[in-house]
Amino acid sequence: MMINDNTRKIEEVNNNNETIKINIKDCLSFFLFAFKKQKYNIIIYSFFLVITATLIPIYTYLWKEYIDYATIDFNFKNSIIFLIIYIGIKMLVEIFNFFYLRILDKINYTSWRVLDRTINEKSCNIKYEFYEIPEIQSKINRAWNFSHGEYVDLYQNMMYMLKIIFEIIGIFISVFIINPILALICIVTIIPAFITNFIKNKISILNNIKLTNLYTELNYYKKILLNQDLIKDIYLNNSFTLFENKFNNLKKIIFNKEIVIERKKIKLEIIEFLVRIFLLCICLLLIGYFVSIKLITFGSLSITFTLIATLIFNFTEFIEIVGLFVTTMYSIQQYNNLFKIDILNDEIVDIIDDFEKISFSNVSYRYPLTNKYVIKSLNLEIKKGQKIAIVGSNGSGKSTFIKLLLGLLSPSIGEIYVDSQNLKNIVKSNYWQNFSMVFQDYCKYKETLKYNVGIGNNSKITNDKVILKCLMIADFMKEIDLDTILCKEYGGIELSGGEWQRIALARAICKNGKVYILDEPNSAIDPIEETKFYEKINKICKDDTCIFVTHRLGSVLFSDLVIFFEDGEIKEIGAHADLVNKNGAYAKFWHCQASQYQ
Amino acid sequence: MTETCDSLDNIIKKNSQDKTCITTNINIEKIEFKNVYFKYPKTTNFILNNVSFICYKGESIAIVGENGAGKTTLIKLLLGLYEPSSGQILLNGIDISNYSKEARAVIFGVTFQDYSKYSMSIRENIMMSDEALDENNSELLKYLEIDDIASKYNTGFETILGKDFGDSKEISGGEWQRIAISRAMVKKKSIYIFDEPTAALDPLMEIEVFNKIINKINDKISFFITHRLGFTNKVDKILMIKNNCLCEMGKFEELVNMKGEFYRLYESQRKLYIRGNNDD
Repeated sequence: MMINDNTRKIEEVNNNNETIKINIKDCLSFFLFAFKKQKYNIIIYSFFLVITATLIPIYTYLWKEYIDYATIDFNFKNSIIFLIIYIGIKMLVEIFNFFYLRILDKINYTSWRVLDRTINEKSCNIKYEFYEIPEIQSKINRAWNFSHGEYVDLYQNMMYMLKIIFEIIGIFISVFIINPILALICIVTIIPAFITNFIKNKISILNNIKLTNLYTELNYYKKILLNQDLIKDIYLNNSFTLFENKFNNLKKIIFNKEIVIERKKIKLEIIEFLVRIFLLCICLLLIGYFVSIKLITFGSLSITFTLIATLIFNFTEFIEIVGLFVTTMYSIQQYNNLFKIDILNDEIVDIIDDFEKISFSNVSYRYPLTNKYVIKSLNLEIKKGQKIAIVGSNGSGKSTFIKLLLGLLSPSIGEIYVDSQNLKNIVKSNYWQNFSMVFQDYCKYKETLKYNVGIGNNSKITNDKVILKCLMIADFMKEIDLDTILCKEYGGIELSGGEWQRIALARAICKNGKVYILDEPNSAIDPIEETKFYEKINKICKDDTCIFVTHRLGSVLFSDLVIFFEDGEIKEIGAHADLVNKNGAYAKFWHCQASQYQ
Repeated sequence: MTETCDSLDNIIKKNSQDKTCITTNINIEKIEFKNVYFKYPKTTNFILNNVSFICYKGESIAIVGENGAGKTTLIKLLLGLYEPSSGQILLNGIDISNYSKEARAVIFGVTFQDYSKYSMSIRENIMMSDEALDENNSELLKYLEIDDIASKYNTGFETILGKDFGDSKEISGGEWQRIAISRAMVKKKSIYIFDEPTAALDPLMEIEVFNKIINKINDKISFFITHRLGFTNKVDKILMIKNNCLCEMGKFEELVNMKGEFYRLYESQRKLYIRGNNDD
């Protein structure tokens, strides 16, 4: 069932991408995209390929002449000349090969970087709201896995395949020059290899697709078993056996499935081998016959053998790479699908530097792919300078409200206005400049103290003085150098919860926003810290707006307005004392916690 | 973390060498900390200084103190994750290092603040083994309202949680917290340890869950690390840790009357609520 509101747009975007159809055109255009980004490299690369391919008929011819001169009518001078030229050209091929490998490395590196950057750009541009859809997050993850896993091999192999194609053409031309009939024989001998490899690849591809989910699961348990952070937990619950069993069982299932496939492949290989030997025998007899009736020379005979061997080898590789390409087509398609996500950027042009009020007009919100509104017809006006405490039970819509306020989510129904401008039309990066935030799960960067504070304000170059001042305002007492790394692993020091709290606050101060948003910032700190923290906050945002979400009702005393959420609605709103006097739901909440202190 | 690994290694090695380690029939009647000191290897500052206390079966103990005072370290020592630099920790009069790893898993039921969320079924997340849920368990699960979570999905207790797999369901923080609590309580243990077990819950649910835990395990030894001092009047004994020392110990009333460190901490939280009530 789909509800017709603004959120539906997001659901539709997701729906369009639900089924993954493999489209060869898309996959090839993916390569063209990577090609376009490095035209220069590709041109040099193709130049090398053409050169090496054209050299094949030349040195084949030279070798044939050398053998002929050396065997049929012995001509020492001529044969030596041909041999020397032959060796010269072969050396040239090797030199080209050296450059070829270098340019290939360069192409690989560039294409990989291009891919990573595009994924990054895309994921930054996708609206936050999309991340509420698990599918989007997994799409990005898959794109990342693709760029760091399959893709690295794939691109290299595709480039290698180009080389093989050129080589095969070169070989055919040279065989054709020697004798057109020989060219026909070449084709006949490679047919069985071609067919068996084709079947083999098809089996592996089907198998791989079937095993993907099992492998994902296997990797999950592997990660658990190797995760240092879980050692404590695994040790205390004695759960090592559980994970190990799960891991081993999965491995067994995968192994058993794979062994069946391997057996099939080996059978095919044996058949192919027998057929090839048979065909080769016939060819040998035929060529022997040709030599005896002097249709071809002895030199041609010897060169044909080498060429057929190279050809078979090349063809096998060729088919393997084609197989690899087909296997990864699925991943390429998924990658493409990430880029097909319409990021729904409306015409966002409005700039806002300062505002007097934010007003919610009849706002309802439901998360994409759900039917329940978690915020229902909200009407509210937040004025500059207000200190607002947001209270309510788990799942009452507090966090959603904050996300709506920040413009991370956009209302399903209704509008949010900042002064008179609609929030949806305001450039978000500009809007966010106005906010200083401390979240419960603030990031603890494994970086220097300076970085950890300065990250709050990345638009300006912050100097040491500013950072020291922020730390001072935030009451960070510990006397450590600004360049100390805040992580023991990297040779720095470890801080306690309270100290991190102050750094998070200093970060917010450093950003110097006009609205402070605190989402349960105090759950990890002790009571004395907590009171100090709020007193501090009160001082810092004297004239600024301050909005905080809390479960510890003691802190509501630092607010002048309490908003009590229940079931997505504002159940009660007013000053703390009024609400307690009203003796409603908020009063119940309050007394529940306060009674513990009487 | 490396310290943990090192000491884990040591413990495992020690246990495999120790032939007298205790593995079965463990019913802890008494815990004793005897002049325990602890510092991390290669550091000079003691995280715990001369901690001594005794507690008996049936007691519930709250460990309170400021951030970084050493509360969590005390718990980790008790669990045998770290070894005391000097002093002894005795369970039933026997040094903790004599208990095998398996024995400790049977003795302790623990919920840490940073409990793990596994992308496995609800049942596996609770049992942490392949075992099925039986009648004894289902009573507890009903008690902690875990069956409400399971009944939301068609697959019940076999619903895969988390966000790692395509068919897994993500549940809220409060629901995860209840599952983590039930993980510690589902099997009969002698000692229960809860590190901020109710941090993600709203006030009403918090009290409910806290009371439920305390009522369920009143015949065992239980430890609570908490910043919410309102709860401490429900426990039998409070250990107040300050500056890495055990500075006060006793019943709630005793500590309040003593007007010492605990009182100071308690008042700082209480005064907000008193002020809030006076506004009425």
